[in-house]
Formats: sequence, C-alpha cells, structure tokens
Amino acid sequence: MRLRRHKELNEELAAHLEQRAATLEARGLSADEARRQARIEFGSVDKYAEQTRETSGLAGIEHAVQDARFGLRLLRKSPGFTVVATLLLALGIGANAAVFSMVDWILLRPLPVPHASQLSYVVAANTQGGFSNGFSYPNFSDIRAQSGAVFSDLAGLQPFEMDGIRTGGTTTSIWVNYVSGNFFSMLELKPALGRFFSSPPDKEEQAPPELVLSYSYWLSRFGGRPDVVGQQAIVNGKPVTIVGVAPKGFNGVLAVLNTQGYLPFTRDLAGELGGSGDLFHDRANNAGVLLVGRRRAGVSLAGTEPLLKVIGLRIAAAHPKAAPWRDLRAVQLTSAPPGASAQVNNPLPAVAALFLTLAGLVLLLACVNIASLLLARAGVRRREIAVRAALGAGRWRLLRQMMIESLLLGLLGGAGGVAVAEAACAALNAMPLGSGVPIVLSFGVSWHVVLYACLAAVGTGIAVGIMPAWQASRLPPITALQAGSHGMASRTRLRSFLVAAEIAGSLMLMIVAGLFVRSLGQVQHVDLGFDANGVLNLTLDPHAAGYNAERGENFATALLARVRSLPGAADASVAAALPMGDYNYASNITMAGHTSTAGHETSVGYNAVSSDYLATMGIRLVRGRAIMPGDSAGGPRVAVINQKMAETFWPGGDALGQVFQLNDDPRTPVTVVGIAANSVTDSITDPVTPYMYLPFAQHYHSPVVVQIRARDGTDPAALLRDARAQVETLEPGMLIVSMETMRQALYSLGLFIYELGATLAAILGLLGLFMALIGVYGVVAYNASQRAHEIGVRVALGARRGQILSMVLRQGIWITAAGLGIGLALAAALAQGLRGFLFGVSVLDPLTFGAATAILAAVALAASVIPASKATRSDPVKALRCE
Amino acid sequence: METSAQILPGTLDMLILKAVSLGELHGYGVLLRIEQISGGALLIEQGALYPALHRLVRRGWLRSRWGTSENNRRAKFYELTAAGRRQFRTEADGWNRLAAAMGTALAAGAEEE
Repeated sequence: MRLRRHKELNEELAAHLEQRAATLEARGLSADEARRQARIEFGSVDKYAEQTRETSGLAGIEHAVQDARFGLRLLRKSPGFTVVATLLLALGIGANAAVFSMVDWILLRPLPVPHASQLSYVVAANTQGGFSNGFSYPNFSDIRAQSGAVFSDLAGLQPFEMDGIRTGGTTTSIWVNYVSGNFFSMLELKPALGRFFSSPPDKEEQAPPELVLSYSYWLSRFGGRPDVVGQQAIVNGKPVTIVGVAPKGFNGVLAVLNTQGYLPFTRDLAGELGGSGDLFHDRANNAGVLLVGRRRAGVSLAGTEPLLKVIGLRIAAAHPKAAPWRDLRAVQLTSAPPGASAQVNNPLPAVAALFLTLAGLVLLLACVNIASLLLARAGVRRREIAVRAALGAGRWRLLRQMMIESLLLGLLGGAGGVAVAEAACAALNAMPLGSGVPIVLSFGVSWHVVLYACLAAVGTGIAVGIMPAWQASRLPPITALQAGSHGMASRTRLRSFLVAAEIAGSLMLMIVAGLFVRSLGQVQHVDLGFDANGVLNLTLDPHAAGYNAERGENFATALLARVRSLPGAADASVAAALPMGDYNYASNITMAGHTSTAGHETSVGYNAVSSDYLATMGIRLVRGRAIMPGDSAGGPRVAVINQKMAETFWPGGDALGQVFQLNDDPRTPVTVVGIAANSVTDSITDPVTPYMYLPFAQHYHSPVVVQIRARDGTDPAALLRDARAQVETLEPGMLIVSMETMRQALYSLGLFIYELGATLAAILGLLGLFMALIGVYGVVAYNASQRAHEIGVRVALGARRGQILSMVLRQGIWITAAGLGIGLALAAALAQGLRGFLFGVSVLDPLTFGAATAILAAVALAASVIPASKATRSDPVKALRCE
Repeated sequence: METSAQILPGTLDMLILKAVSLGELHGYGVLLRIEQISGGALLIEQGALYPALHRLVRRGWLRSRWGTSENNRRAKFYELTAAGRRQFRTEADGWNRLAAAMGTALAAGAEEE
C-alpha cells in the first residue's frame, strides 16, 4: 500500500525535473543531455524525497508501514529464523498462558456474585497455631448475631454432601450444600427461576424442607423445564419441595466443585448434617459449618479483626469446652476452599507459584533464545544496514526498522501462543479426572497473560534489537562495508553469555521435571499392602436412597451372597471405606494401661468390613484370624488391627487377645482377634498409621462398597454389569454411586495428581531442553560461519580436520560447562522449595541431577558437533574467495 | 555565473516566502523566481527546495494546490497564507536589521594592514 502523499511527492519532483529539462532544451541542449543535466543540478532525488517526507506530518506512519512491509519481506526471506523464533515464542507464551489459566481457575477467579471482593470466611485460630474452618451451629448462630457491625450478613453452609434424589422412579446422586436461610440473600443472588429460602435466622430450625437446584443441574436432570418448581422430590428418603433454580454460572461458594443443589438447615433434614448430636442445640457438636460473611462497605479484612476477636473471646469464655479456639479471624474468600480439609493453610498457592515459576522460566528461555538469534542476524545484516545508511537512512530510521521486526516477531509468537494455550486448555478440560466428585473444569485462555507474555517477548526483542542496530548505525558506512563480516567480538561474548544462561535455566527445568517424574515412579511402585489388580468396586448408598440402617444392612448381606455366586467372582466382601477414598472413618479408643496426653493420638482410623475382606483385597493376615461371618450384630465385639496399631499400643507385648473400648460405646470391650499386615489407608504419601477392621455387621455405614476379586481371565466390565444387575433385581430404587476397578479408583484418588504434576513438569522440561538445543546450535553454527575465512586459511595451511573440529567445539563445550555449573547450583537452590511436593525422592536426588546434566551435556555437544563438522568440510578455496 | 554565492543557512525559507509573496508558483517556478529576483546571484541546490516547501506548508505559512503549469503539465502550486505573510515581514525586518548592522560594522574604522 503506497500512501497518496508519497505518490504526489514523486509526481511533484518529476514535474520539476521535466520543467528544468525543458528550460535546458530551450537553451540548446539535446533532449537526453537536458534530462541528464536537470538530474545533476537537482542532486540526489532519493535523498531530498526522503527529507521531504520526513518533514511532512504523515512520515511516521508512512515509515512504519514501509518498515513493517520490509520486515515482513525479511522474515519471509529467512523462513528458518522466522519459524524457529515464532515457535519458541509460541511455546513460551502458550505454556505460560495455560499454566496461568489453571492458576486463575483455582485461585484467582472471583465468585460470580455481586461485589465478590466483600466476601470472606470466618475461621477459628486454634491453640496449636493452626486454623479450623468448621463450626457448630450454635457457635455459627452466635457469631452471626454478634458480628453485624462488620458483616452486613453472615451465612453458614455445610459444603458438599452427596445425597440421593428420587424423582419419579429412579434414584441418582446429587451433590448438595446445606445452607442457612440467609445464604442466597447474603450472596445477593437472584433466582433464575422460582425463589430461594426465606426463613429468618430465628426460624431456621422450623424451616420447611426445600430444595434449590443449580442451573446446570436443572438443565441436565430436568431438561430446563420451568414446571419443576413446586415439584416434590425425595432426598435421602425425605420429601422436599423444589422451590427454585440458582442463577446460571453459580456453582456454589467452592466454585471448583460443582454443587448441584442447596438444602436449608432445618430440623427435618438435620439428621443428614454432619456431627453426631443435636445440630441446633448441641454447641459441642462441630457439624463443620463454614462461615461466609459479606463485609459492610468500607470494612477491610483487617477491619473485622477487633470485633471478631471480642466475639471469639466472649463465646470461648461462656463455653470453654465447646469453643476450642484462641480467636476468630476473617480470610478472603476465593473459589478454592480454605484448606482441603480443615485448615486455612492451602497448598494450592505454593503449587501454583511453582508452576508459574517453571512456565516463566520457559518464557525467559524463549526470550533469551530469540535475543541470541537476533544478535546473530544483526551480525549477518551489518552489510545491509551499512548499505542502507550509505543510501541516506537515518540512525533512528534504522533503529526503528529493527524494532518493528521484533514487534512483528512478538505478534507472530503471540498469535502462535494463543493457539498453543487454547490447545493446552482444551486438553486440560478433557482431562479424565475419574473422580466421583463433580469438578468444574473450565480452563480458558486468559487474555491478560497472553498480553503480558507478548509484551515480554516484544520488549526483549526490542531491547536486544537496539544494541546491534545502534552499533551498526554508528559505524561510518564505509568501515562497515569494508570490514565485511569480521569482528564484533563483544557481540559474540554477549551471545555466549546468553546461551550459558539458557543452559542453566534449561537444566533447572529438567531437574525439576526429573524430580517430579521420579516421584511419580515412586508413587506408582509404592507397596500398597494390598493387591489392587483384579479388584472391582461397586459403591452403593442405601442411606441416600432412603433406607434405614436395618434395611441397608440386610440389602448389603443379600447382595453379597448374590455377588459371591457370580461365576467370575473369586472373592467378594463389603466395606465401608475404600483405601484413600472419599470416606474415612476414625474413632477414639481407650484401653487399660495406655494413657496419652494429646487427645488426637488415640484416634484410630477404621474400616467396617465383612468376612473375606482381607482375602478380597489381598491383605496378608499376620496372626490370629480375619473377620468371620460369625462376627454378627449380637456377637462379641472384635477387631482385626494392623501391625502398626499393635506396635503402637502394645509395644513389645502381644496384641492378640487384648481388649480396648471405642469411645462411643465405652462399656463394651472390643477384643483383638487378628493382626493384618500394614497397608495404605489414607494417602499413598503418608506414613502408615494405626488402623483397624471392625465387623460390618457390628458397625453399619452408608455408603457401602461391594468389592469383588475377579477370577483370572474374567472381563471386569462384564462382571461389574452382572453385579449391577443383581443390585437392580434386589432393590430397584438403590442409589449406585460408582462402578469402577480398584486401579481406576487408585488413579483418581492417589495417582492422578502426581501424574498431572509429572506430566506438566515433564512438558516444561522438554521445552527447556529444546530451547537449549536451539541456543547452542545457533551460537556454534554462527561462530563457525563467522570464522569460515579463518578456517579456510588454516585448512589451506594444512590444519587437520580433527584440529579444526576441536577448535570449533571447544567454544561450545566451554559455554555448556559454564551453563551446567550455574544451572546445578540454581537447581539445588530451587529444589529446596519442592520438598513438600516430592515423594520418595530426595530434593537433591543424585540420579536426577546426574541424568539431567548428562542429557543436557550430550544434547549440547551434539548441537555443537553438527555445525563444527560442517565447518571442517568447507572448501578452503571457496571460503577465501567469498570475501 | 562567476559572481554567484551559496546561500546562508536559514535564509532559504525567507527567499521562498519572498518568491511566493509575489504570486502563486509551482516548485520549479520558485527556483526560477529566486534566480530572477536575485539577478542569478544566489545558487540553490534544486532538490533542497522541496523539503523546505513542505516544511513551510506544515508550519501553515504556505498552502498548496494542484494545478496546470505553463507547459500543460500537472504541477503543485504554492501560495502564501496570511500567517506566512506576517512571518515573511518579521523575517525580512530581522534580516534587514542584521544586514544593516553588519554593513555598519564592516565599514567602520580603518583597516589594519
């Protein structure tokens, strides 16, 4: 596109020349001679045209357009450089955008409610220095009543219970929040349909049992039908009325988890709420009510502190046993819960910071690489720049030209980066979580981060582009033209430094990736203490289907008998919990001769199991006997304990035959009848804790897991289908929570997060390796080409190939060695921050450090050998003549 | 043209304004007019006219339009604006004072041998 002004100026100058020629012709010169003379008198047309353009207003834009066109032509002319630079930037920007969008999703995205920044949790600081976020209802009620000066409203919720819902004939699971009556009004939300709960705080106990659906659940389960309002449904066997639908996009306060429905705190449903006593009046019954308050306008987080402190002290003074805290405080509400379990200290920010750092390092490497490539190009283009300077281009014009090229690269890379990030986010969204818990996966590319990354890339490009352009434009053109392509030692040094930095950064990335991958390996090969292969899990929830304990237990017994007779089943049993599963049970125990100071030390995890459990799971029985069919509800209380429990409570003695009491039934002695081998119960990464197996017939729990060990050669899917058919024959209304193999369960429960971490880290590590490869190759190839003349002379004078090779290689080796040294030191420092994320691997794992160093050294060497050996094969005559 | 002189820096603008003040001219015409009014004593590098013309347009002292030259060619014509006329008078006054002062200074006293 040529601008009109440009054309006009050319026409004006042409008119001048023509008129002058006509004048000269009239004085007697020939037509040709006149034209020649007119040109000579005029001086350099190009120079004056350029000067004229610079004086007129549109010159800047006109030049920018020219520069951009020239830049694009140059980029097209060296497709290798363009493709590599764009790819580097795209990968760097894409990786950052993808990681940032995860962080954004987990930590930063505000809740889709009005004025979300005013919302905060109220948590209790306990005497041990930690925090707990769960309160009993009476404590919640008191805090709500007394905190009106700082919170315009304070609501309670019990997050994330899985209930069963029956409408029509079928029962399905629904993940719900139990909330106080003011929950939705506190959030300032308007229903998409119907209404929300309306009971005032003092009438909460008598609130009618009502159900509010989430928008997405209303669409998926009820097809978005408006007549759903007013319908009856059965939740956990109790009738409730559907009164409304929450607004679109609101998935609960814990936005990461997909809450499907909301039920009120009410006496009618109190039995479903956590805790063992009276929800509304037993202050010591910590039902785990989370407190979310909306701060009054102008009240900061810190501004709530004095009043919360007073309230905390007041309640604690009045009820010392039932308010076990030091004081109360407010924590800003984000979409992630305040602590995965019951603490505020959330590991997610640390994980997020780690991956942001790694991704940032990748971008930094990309920028360093491009800087290095631009430096090399500036060297090659010195002659072109000199020619342009000789033809009248100003220094500023030359500088601007280089910068516009950097800008073009940044834009290309940014566009590529968005594509990479989109693809990465799509892959993340499609991630098979395999979790029973519905999680909202909505990663989206954040435009902020794309913009930031583009700016970083362009900024680096410009910063690095300026120096060679400045150098080149400062030289008198004649010197630059004569010097050819020699010299510029300082630039070579700068490039070498950049590549050493790149190797250091790349080594850090690879070591972090290696540590994660090794952790995954350790986790995968950890001795679980049970044999997961061939075990199938069928999780059912009789309680949520509305069955009482007696009916639920009868059902479990009957189902077990039917499942055992299936031809594919080698063993089958019933259990209350899965290892590392969503439900864990624990009980305080007491026993003669064992006293402990801190209360939690006597809390022992347990599973309620039927006979054949140890056989089905493949857990070794060390001594005594397993749970037997005879351990019935009416029989004597017995327990099989793990070795750790035996060692902990009866050290040095024989645990077999010993007696202890469970705290909820202190008068009935429980006899230890067997000792089982230790096995993983809570988490793969935690050390084994004391654990016991109690007879299911004596300790009924719902949900219940029917576990089947398949015979060799049986199709697990077919066996699960057969088992499901048995459930449907027996109790058509039963809620089937999940059907999966133990391997799948382990993946989603324990391994998934390690695999995700290892995969992400490995991708970033490979990117780092790729960047180092390009960096080293580039610098060695460039230097070899710069020294082609010298090499030609040496070859002509009789230098052997080996000598030339080692001469060229030496430089690459020095740079690599320096980079590796720095990288090892930095990686050792960075690894200290990984302590909490690794499993079974030392942060200074010699294997990882050694292997990463060796791989990088080998890659760097290979990257230098190719251009070096090319240099030795060059024809000396050609090299010498080309100057 | 053995008596011709290179013009002083900064005086080209003034010469152009003077040339144009006598009537609308195209670029080549400006050159001819300057040669004519200076009796061929002032040499201008022809190309240098154009950056100066465009600069004066940008400052608002000249305006330009496309027209047809004596030999029926499309050419760009320049004419003085009101601001240009004021500017020319100021510059001419300044120059005259300077020239007078220089003349007085150079004529004063006896020259040392």
